Amino acid sequence: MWILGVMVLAAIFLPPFFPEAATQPSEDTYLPPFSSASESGFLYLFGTDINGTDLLHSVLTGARVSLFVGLAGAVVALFVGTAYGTIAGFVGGRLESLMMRLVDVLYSIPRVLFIMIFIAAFDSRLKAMLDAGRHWASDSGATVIHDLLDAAIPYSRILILIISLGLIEWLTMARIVRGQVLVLREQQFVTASRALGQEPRGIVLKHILPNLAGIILTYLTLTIPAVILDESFLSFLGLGISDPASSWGSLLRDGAQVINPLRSQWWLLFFPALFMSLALLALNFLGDGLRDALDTRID
Amino acid sequence: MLTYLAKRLLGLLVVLFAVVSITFLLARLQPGGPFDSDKEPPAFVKEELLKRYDLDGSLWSQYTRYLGDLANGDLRVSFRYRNWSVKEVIAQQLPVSLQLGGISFVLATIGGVALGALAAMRRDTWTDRGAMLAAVLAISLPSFITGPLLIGVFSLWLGWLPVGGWGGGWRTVILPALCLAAPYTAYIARLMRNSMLEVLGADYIRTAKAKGLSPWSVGGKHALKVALLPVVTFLGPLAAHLLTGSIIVESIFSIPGAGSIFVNSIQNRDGFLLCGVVIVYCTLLVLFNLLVDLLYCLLDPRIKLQGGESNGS
Repeated sequence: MWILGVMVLAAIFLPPFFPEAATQPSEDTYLPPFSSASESGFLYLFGTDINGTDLLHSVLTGARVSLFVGLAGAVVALFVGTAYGTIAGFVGGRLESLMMRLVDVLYSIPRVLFIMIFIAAFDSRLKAMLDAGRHWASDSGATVIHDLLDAAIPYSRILILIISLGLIEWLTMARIVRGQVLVLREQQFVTASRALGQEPRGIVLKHILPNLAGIILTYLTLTIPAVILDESFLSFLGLGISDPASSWGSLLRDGAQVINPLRSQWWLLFFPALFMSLALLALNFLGDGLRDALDTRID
Repeated sequence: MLTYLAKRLLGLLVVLFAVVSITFLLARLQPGGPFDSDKEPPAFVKEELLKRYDLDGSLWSQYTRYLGDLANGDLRVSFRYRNWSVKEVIAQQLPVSLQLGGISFVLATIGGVALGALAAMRRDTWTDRGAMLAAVLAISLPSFITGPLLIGVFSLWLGWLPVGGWGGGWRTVILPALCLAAPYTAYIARLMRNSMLEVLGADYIRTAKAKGLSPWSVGGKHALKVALLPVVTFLGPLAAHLLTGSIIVESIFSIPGAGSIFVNSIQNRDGFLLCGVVIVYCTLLVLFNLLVDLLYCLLDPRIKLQGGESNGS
């Protein structure tokens, strides 16, 4: 837990403090950890990579990307899954069985494959769309929108990753939420509220959703590591985050590529792996702990 | 039974149809045609190429013609590997993936069941705690961390096993199979431990113990069989996971399997090859899920197969 907090804080606040020389390409390629730069004498704690940039800096900025994608993707999954599960559970009947059948089918096919195709198909389209929007905004004088879109263009890949990863990780959430809604629906306070003439929408918003909060939060913490894993899976294959931005997955890819028996650049692999493992373990422990604390029955 | 099978096979067709349609559409939506290269070919060449690969006309007519070919069992030809049909490319590389997947599957199932049962029978001892800690580690660490780690230790440091490649006998198989199977072994071990603990608390186990049977006979004969059920439901998803997981493992250990076809065909915009791989993958999976469901009701006679509704699919 502590580890995760420290890591998040470091990733957010530390990168700006690195000297320019450490983050720019330099002559000091493949320096092992704890060696200092030839010119400025800056200490490379984690060593340097192929371009002679500081690995600690890359790992921290990579942590920004990975954790952000994880969180944002999990939030997307949360919205989709909760909405889907609530509707299925609350409406019931034929619609419910149809919706849950669809979830079953989606469970049984390799969804990540489709996401890979999806990303390949829509990545440059989204970029073109953002670009068109930017031109339109600058023509019509809406500078705020223009600046916003201008800033968003380099991140379009991340954006599409977040959307698509959120769209594959909602299934578990939908199942859990539906199960919970089925229980809640029959509770006396819901019946009472219905008897008092509350409309279905009000019942869902006022009585069902607040009671789902605990379980949703638990599965949010379990979805974050899943999304981080998916993202690094794609980046490792070269289909996710692309240069110059980097995430833990793409750092690992770079590290795995230079592995060879003659000259071992083990630090390129070791430090991203260490950071990612610690983050994943911390999140999984947190999620499991929350689940055990909230859920008395073991599933 | 027969109606159930017929219904499931019909459902299989529906799923496959949806899969083919989505893949075809997405593949055609990829920006940049399959024949784009640095040099822009003259218009008539392009037209001729499109015609040759049956990609002229509207999207709809392309789609219906492709479906027609598929119905005749023709997966068409690859754009990239000229003169190779999609079938030939897949037939060459799929067996490698299937071998790797099969070995990992057996490894994960047997290893996971054994570990989980052992942990449950020695509950709250160090064996149990150690096994469960190892399980959490194995589940949390993805194969692209454990893979290079295994290579680093066993190939580079100790020099026992080759770094990668395929076809060098059992020595080349060990590391990739281990790397692929580890997280699922752990998952099955956890599943098995939970269900075994539940079963061990049941009345008939107490009776068996009271009769004076040895703990191993109680665990092995009476409890194991019943405790296996939840594991069987996981076998379907397990196959799907092994399939996607093998893409990474194949890339780490440079194994020439179907995973590399998949990744390459996305990057090369090789639409028909992509569709072909996806179709093969999905067919395998859906058939496997059906098999698992049948196995499930074989193991537990209380479960009746009902049309459409079933577990684990």
